[in-house]
Amino acid sequence: MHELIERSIRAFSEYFQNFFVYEENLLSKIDPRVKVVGFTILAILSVSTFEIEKILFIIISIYLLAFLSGISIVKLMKRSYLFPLFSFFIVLPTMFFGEPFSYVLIFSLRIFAAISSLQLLIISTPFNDVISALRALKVPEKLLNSLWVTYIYSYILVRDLLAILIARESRRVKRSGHIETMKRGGEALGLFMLRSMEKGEKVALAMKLRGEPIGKVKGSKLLIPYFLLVVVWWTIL
Amino acid sequence: MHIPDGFLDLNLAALFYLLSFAVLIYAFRKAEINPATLGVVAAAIFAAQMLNWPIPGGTSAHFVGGGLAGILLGPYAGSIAMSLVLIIQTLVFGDGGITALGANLWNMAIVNVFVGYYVYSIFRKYSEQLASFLAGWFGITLAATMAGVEIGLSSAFKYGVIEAASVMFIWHGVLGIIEGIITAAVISYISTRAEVKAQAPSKAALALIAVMIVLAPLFAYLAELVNYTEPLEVAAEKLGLNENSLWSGIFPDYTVPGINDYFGALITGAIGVALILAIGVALARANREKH
Repeated sequence: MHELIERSIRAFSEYFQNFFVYEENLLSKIDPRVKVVGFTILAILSVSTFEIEKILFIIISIYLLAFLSGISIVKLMKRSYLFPLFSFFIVLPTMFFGEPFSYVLIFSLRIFAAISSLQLLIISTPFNDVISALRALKVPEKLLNSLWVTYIYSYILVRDLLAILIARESRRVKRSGHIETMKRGGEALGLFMLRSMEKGEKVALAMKLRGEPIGKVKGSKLLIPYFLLVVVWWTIL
Repeated sequence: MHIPDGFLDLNLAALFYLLSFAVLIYAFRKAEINPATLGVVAAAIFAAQMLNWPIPGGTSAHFVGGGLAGILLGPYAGSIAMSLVLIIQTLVFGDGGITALGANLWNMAIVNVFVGYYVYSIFRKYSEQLASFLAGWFGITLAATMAGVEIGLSSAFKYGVIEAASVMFIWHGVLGIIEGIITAAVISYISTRAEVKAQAPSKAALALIAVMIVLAPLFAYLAELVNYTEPLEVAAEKLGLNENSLWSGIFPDYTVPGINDYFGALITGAIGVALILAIGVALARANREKH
């Protein structure tokens, strides 16, 4: 089971790096409602066309915005290139069936544009601001409260799960195969789920005592003209 | 299985947003769990998904947990818990596209959870372990097939429905075995320590799932209508290659010699499902005898 633990710790650390990706920059001072709506529009524009001019225009707009806000372009690219590259290889065989190479390229570029847009939102906006924005955009309160609890407890529960796995591994005396690992790991997961359900009930009671957890929206709306300009230019193109 | 932005046509993406939200709003009304409790359980599923299970050959697989969520929480609360995980994965980790979120919710939070729950409910009377194995396997395999259908129907993605759906079906059909084993191990542990009481769903939800399952072969029929041909065969024809099989199998090209092709495909499909069921039963029995 040590392999399960080792691999999982690697996955945990890779995943949780995202919790620390947010950085203070010019974009982070903008109203999160504007950013959520604006970057969603950019993602929609990216995937609604196959015209290379429009897609390149969106990519340039996103990276220009990142550059002007002081966000590292290399960092943004590193966070956005993997899926488009994967998609490129998925659609590459369509060339055997008569699709031109331009289709393969444009298909991957539009994914790159949409993912870059989402990544820029993630880098420039802490999750509590995203929640506040969604609240201001009238997303149901019940859903947002659950979403917030999921976010803040994910790290704690990962640690709980890891603690259970390590405790069980430390008591193991013989070598285990794949099936044995899945069985023992499954049992550990069962114990973890039971404990999590209990914890969930305690947290619900504690939250009831403390009251509402989510703050209000803050920030300026300076980004609105930029998004409007991009949309108008995209339409003209 | 997370569909990124750009794979789905916008009209399809919008349709799945609508479908998912309709089901999830209904689920929110029906679920009898406090939002905070649900949030913590969702965080637990999120943590469970990050486990990297080693599989033979040096590679590893992730657990999705839709079937498990359905069994533990019932289809309504289970689908909401999975939705929370998927929304966080999109908005915090960039896993899955923002335009494709509706489709991802439909596949992993609705199809996976509801199918998992119903399969478990049907087979539970025979064996708890078998039922949870099948819930995990069917849930993830059908969810992945649904993702393949959605991508295949999109004009932006140049492969057809049959290619996309069959690749997803085959790949996740294999990975689903791991999902099934883990689900069975978790439920087997929990059932010895607590009574698993999931909230019973309504008949309307059952009808919805049935319609989804019945509609699946319709896509195959539509593919036939538009003269779909096997892409590898087209490629081979263009390259001037000839087929030279060493062994054509018991049922060559999913047909039964001497029987009409369509009935042959149905029979071979049924045999395939029966084989998987038999393997599941054998594994469950072997496991029970060991205990």
